[in-house]
Amino acid sequence: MANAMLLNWINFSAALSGLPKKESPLDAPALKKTFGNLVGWYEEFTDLPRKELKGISRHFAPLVEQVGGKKKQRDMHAVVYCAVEFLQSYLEPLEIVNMSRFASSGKERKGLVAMTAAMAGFHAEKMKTLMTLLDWLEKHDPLFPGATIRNKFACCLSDVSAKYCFDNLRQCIFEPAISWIRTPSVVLSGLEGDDDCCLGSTLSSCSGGTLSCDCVAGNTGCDCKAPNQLCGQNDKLTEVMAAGFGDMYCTALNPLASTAGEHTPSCLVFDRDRSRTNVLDAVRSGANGVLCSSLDPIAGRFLINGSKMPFDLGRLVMKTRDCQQTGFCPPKSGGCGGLC
Amino acid sequence: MRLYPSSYTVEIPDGDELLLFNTRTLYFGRLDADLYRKVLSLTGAPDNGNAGDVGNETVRHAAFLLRQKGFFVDDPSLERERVAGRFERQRHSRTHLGLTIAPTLDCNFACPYCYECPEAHTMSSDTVERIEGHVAGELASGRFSSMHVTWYGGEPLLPESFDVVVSLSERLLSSCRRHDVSYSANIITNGYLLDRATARRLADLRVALAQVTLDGPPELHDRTRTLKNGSGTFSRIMSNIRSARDLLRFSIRMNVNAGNADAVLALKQVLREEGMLSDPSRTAFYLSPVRSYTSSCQGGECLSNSSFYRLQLELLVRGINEDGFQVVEEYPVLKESVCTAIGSDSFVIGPSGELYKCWLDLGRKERSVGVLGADGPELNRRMERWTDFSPSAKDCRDCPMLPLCMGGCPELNLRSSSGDENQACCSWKYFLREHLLHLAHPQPLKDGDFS
Repeated sequence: MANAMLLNWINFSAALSGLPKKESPLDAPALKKTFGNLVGWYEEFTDLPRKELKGISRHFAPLVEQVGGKKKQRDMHAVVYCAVEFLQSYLEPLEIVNMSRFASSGKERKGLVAMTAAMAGFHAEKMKTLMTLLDWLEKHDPLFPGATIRNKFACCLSDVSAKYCFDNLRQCIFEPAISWIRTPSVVLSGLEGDDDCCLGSTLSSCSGGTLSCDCVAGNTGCDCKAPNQLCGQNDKLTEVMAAGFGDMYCTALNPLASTAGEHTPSCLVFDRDRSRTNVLDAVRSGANGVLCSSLDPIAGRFLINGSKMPFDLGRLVMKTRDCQQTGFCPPKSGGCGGLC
Repeated sequence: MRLYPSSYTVEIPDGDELLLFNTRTLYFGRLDADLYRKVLSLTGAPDNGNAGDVGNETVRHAAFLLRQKGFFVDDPSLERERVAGRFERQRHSRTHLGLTIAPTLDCNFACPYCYECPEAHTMSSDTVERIEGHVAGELASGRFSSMHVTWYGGEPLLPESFDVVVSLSERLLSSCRRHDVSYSANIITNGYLLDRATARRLADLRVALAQVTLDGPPELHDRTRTLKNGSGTFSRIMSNIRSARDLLRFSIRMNVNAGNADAVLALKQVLREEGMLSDPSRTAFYLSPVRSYTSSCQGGECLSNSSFYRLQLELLVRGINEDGFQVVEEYPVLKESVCTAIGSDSFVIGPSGELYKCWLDLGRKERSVGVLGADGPELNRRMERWTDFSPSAKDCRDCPMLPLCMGGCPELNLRSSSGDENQACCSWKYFLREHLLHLAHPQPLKDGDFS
């Protein structure tokens, strides 16, 4: 399950659809074309079978419509938030490849250098849209760190094999030294960055229940259902829109229990833990450092298919932890933590 | 580009650095204190002297990241409104019917700290029918998708009371099936009468979880959790739990006061030896402070709020959770649930059909909010006390802990007056800063550091 790029682009497109056309940096055809190019990225740099990726582009428009929901008008903040989420997800594999050079040697290193070159070529040829987007973000958000993003692109896509973009603490050399000591286990963040409907809702706050969120349609927020039932009765589906390259908290339960698109997926995006130690979400020890376990440097591909996680757009099955009700009073509806 | 520091940010100086935690977004980070000062300056926060350096990419980027994680907001009043609004939406989400039913207030135990007034009276068949009718009417409205019942008392497993549990469960289950509403239940019991046959019957009636109180290892438990004749109960309760563990999940509660505060780890060891901690999905173990809720409480030795929370911090430092079985919450979570007392479709129903909003009022008819009549709830003006409760009112409004507790226990909150220690305040108010420092510097502290 590493469809973050695609799903973040869908979220971003949905957010843009809420802006007046003349204010939008990209028109609908450009958004769709970029989405198709991103599907091409997955064909080229992951082990996902082509037949699985074939036809995904057809879902773009309906998914954007679905994510946009009833609330058509978006503010600039929502667009910036979604754009940054997308850029982070697009940069993430580039960062992983760059950093993996620390731990590599011989064929692995050659493979990684070749992979960087291929990704640089792809970026230059197919992703020019992103530079337009960066220009627009710099113009519209005075805080947007455009220079940092450009530096990261330049560094991660550099063909100089010894060029590393991170220090020994895996801190990006271009970014300010803010280290995240803890982040919520899994954050379901809304389409809009300051939208409370999902912000901060975590699986752990819904232990034993099924967390369902509906951020767009009616802005009703997240709700933890049936927390007191036995675990086996709670293995329901919660659908979210995206995940990063390492979904440590997600378990596939029953992919047949729901069909894609049946449930309104709304606006959710997993925000991976960005503490300084997990730019590589899954690591294995190496003689010289770490190497991302979901990366095959010799084949030049990320192993998404091999991770056995579903790749469906708009569908991710989550099982919450079992309930540990700690309250004196029973919760009225959902939620298990804390004294009431 | 004026931004404001979030009302829910907790700043903790840590040498040349600053730890920042936001109780609304739950992000916890560390950055250089000087960089933060520059960010404050850039964003136009009040404690700066100039407009800041927009041209400095590092400062701008830091401000951007902090805004993205909720440490800075465009509009502080809107931020507060959103926290309150989120809770109100959950409170008025009218799709779940939650009832706490006490078939009796009678009990076979004589715990000194009990806040209830035992009455040897069991719910009549007429009251059972009124509850059945009320639920059927509510479910027929079509707006409920789920229903949950907590069986409570007194001791709900006393023989006559248990008959009511069985009879009413069957009726409620039938009603839920008829209206396609999901049903779940749990039971609060002292565990003394919870033999295997009873547990099996409860499980058949969709009771999934039993909350049982153990006040420590046998020698301590048997001091407070006694039968009316004064004899101890630990051995039989543990035997019952052992025999019913495959049928029910158990939530073990330990009522903590000054007399048994030292025995938390010892009780955990007992539970471990019983094999109860091997599967956290089947067992929970949590601590609750003994409080002087009512005049009937003879507990004595109550811990103050702050002492109880200090105890929790000490337990964390001493590794209470280190075996992977969590007893004390390690990281804050947002308050997602709404207490029965202020939930819009929740009632506590006493043995005579009297209605309450708060469990603590059970049996005190002068505090009931009405009665379940033949045509449904007949409510009185005391309901307003609960419907008017707002966690964003009073001192809580400006408290940075609000997203974590949403005012805490409504009853305790309503009782508190400005200036006093609010008994409803969550543990994090007392030890969040120390705990965050502990998380940031995870080396264990020495014994005695918190004495």
